[in-house]
Amino acid sequence: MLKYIVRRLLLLIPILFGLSLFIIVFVHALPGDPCSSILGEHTSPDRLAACRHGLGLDKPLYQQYFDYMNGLIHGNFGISATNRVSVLDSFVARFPATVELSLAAMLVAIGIGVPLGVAAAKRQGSVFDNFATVASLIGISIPIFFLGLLLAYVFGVWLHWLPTLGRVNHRLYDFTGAGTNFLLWESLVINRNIPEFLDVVSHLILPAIALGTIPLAVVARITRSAVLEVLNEDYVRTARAKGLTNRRIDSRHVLRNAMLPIATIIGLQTGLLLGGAVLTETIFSWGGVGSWLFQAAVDKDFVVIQSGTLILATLFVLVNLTVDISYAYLNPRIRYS
Amino acid sequence: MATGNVALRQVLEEPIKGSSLWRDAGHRLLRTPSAMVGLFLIGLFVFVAVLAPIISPYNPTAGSIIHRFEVPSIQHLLGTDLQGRDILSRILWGARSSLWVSILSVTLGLLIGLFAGAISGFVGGWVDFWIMRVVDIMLSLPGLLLTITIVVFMGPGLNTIAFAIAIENVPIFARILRSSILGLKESDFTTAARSIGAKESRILINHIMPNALTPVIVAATLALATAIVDAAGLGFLGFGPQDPSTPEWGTMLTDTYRYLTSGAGFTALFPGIAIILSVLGFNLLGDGLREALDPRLKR
Repeated sequence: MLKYIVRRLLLLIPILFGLSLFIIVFVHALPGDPCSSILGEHTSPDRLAACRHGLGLDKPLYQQYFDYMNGLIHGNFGISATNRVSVLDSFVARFPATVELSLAAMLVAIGIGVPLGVAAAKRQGSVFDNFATVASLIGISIPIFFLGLLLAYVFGVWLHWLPTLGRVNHRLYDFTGAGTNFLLWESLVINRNIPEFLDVVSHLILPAIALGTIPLAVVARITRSAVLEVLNEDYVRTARAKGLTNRRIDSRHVLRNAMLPIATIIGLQTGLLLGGAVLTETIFSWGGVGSWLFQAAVDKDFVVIQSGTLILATLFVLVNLTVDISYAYLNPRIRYS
Repeated sequence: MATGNVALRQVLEEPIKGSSLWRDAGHRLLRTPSAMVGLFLIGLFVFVAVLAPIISPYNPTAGSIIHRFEVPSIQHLLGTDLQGRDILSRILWGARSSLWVSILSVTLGLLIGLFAGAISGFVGGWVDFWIMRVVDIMLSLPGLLLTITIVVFMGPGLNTIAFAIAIENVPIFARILRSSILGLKESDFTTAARSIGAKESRILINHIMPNALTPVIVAATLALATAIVDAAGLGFLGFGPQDPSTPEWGTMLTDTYRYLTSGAGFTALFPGIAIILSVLGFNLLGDGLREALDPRLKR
């Protein structure tokens, strides 16, 4: 098992090299560069050339790639062309917001999606099953920004139940102390401040629902089909013949065996969410990596786009590796060597 | 003897009623109510997009600021927007933008993706290895951000949006076609065709491709749905058509977002519903096709 993990991690190195090469060629192949957006359209060619020289953009592409990779190997992810902040610092500052939002969204998705899928499968063909199927199809079809807008309008503007902007009420609570940016953890464990924690949670609810709806629908659909497949297996009939209670059959025999495709889709969806939720973050002014990379794209900030995408893609690959490893736990027949 | 000959002749003369995969699939599709609902929604969407100039009650670009944010009434069935324009007319015209982007992006994605996937699957070897590594890389990139980056650099507008979404689709189509070709290359009917002396090109075109394309058709139908959502998302972020005379559903929602607190909430509802219905249509049909085209489910 350990050997397998090490081999997969070593395999990550050529993938990352390929990825970095792809990204840098891709970004440079597109028209425009950071200087044109920093200096604006009406600038002199001299200033443009000076800016390009300052950022090293006048060098040949292979030289730029070499310099960039040289920096990466030494742990230097580069500096933003627009605000001169280190890319790694910006990422570390914003990633906790994305992690909290993604996990909360997945909590919504798994907490509702799995029971919904199981219940629908066990009543296959019933009114409830049809309702769940239609509801999850609608869930997949709703544009995230429309749902976000609706939620913000109904629960924020109209009913005044929940806050719709930001991660915490900064006028009431100060989070500059510990600086981990994991506000849930900081408020509950470090500050031990319950009202503060509840404020953070209340800010999280609407974005998490908006972001979690599509994964919820996907998880419910996969769960339903996975459970349906397992329900027809001989061992489930055997378990029933043995006189086991339904609860025990469900938890030990059905769900445990249906878990493989469900775990795959959960891993995949989590990986996708960690890639940043540009639209949700925009609507709820959530300062995560999505809005950060969105701004970098708007500014044509090459280094931020390259390093940010590289970090996210690495995370995505790592999440997938974790899913693969969890297979061995979920299905003892799978042995990695 | 004579009667036997007659019987034999009858058997020989009577055409064998074979039913192709497509015919079977068509029949199964017609018996799936959800797919029919999907087909109806798509039909409505295409109908509206094509006939927008005829059926729109108002000019979608003309409006006066005096009539801004009017609630739905007999004159304006769905109300008016920020600039006093008729929302119904803008939604009808907006269907054209969505239809255009979805068809263009999926067609473009299919052209490149199928080419890469077919080469990868048929040629194999190191060509396959390198194409699949590029596909892996593209699939590990955060999707919407990739699309946004392309659109930012190439300039906003429907065609750039379609191009960017197409690029996102390429690795998906390529991988699906490749894996189904690989599976079919080893199948019994391929071996059977080869053993009766069929040429390789004939095996590819007549035996492998029709079967390999079925999962691609399902994926393409679902990709049409994703394209509509993504295009609206990009429009919402401000990368839609910059010419205000081209209504686009996502862009319509942006205006509302800015005026959310000033009593304009209802204006978001209708473009949003339009997006959901058209996307739902393609998702329903895609689901139905997936089941109809699966020969294992043949009853």
